[in-house]
Amino acid sequence: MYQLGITPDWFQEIDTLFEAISILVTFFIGLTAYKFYKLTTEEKYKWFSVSFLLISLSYFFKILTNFFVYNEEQVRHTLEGYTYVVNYVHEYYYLEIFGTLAFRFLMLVGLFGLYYIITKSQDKKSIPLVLFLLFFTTIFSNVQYFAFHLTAALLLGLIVWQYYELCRQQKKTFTFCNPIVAFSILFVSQIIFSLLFLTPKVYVIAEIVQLFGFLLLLYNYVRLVWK
Amino acid sequence: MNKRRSRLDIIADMLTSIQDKGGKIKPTHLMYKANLSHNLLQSYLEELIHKNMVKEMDINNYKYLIITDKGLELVQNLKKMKDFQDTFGI
Repeated sequence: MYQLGITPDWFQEIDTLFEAISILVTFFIGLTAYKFYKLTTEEKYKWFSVSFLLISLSYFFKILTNFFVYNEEQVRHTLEGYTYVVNYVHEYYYLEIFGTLAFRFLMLVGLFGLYYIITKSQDKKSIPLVLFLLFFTTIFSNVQYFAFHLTAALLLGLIVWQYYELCRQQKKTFTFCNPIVAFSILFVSQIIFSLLFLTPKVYVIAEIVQLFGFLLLLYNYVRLVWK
Repeated sequence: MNKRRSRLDIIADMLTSIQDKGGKIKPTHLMYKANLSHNLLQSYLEELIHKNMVKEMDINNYKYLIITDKGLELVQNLKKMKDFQDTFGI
């Protein structure tokens, strides 16, 4: 069966709520960056905004796909004493695949965009190559799901590293007020996601850790914008 | 060596200088406070007056520059933007 992950039944509605929170957090940050772009017309704000909005859109696709996967028809059959479960392939099957791939690709592109802006990179020639590799990784993750999570972890790790360098240069302390903590938690969540093959419980743990990372990002955002 | 100020930095410095002086300032004081030449000050002031960020007013035969609500809002937004930029390292 094609699915996003091994989600325990009791967690199926809860994880959708978690993704909705992620959408809101990333959407608000993206919208604020866009407001600053309109004020200054500086490109960095535009691309920072686009990156966060892509991550927001990616979670929208994940919710959409969850909806189709969780409503998949399962019928139990008994034959010669053996019980087996049949998943009926319905007309939404291709939407599930499209939704999953869209979620993964948009998420990776969004994370790459953040990394590109934060490092203040000027190397525009390598962008098509990176986008192609991210697309290839997304397609490959259809076969080996952890390819997506490890690539997302790599990009988040690079973002954390860049924030660490910035903190070192500016002699800042690592408090909850710094996005390095939030991105580090998101990095850990992706590593946990990649261990899904161990037990379905891993999915629950990874989702909770990821939610915590997004809530910390929200805390950073609220401190900045509503003070 | 200090980094060259952007157009937005100069506008922020001008508006903050007026705000720090209680919302009104004489043009000469603003020139020193915002560290601008006379020509540059005139050119930026024209823009700020045209955009209703600042207005000119005569008080006791002296010309004063007054920051408007729109100007105060811009100062607030620019401060938030600076904090946003510093926090997210962009």
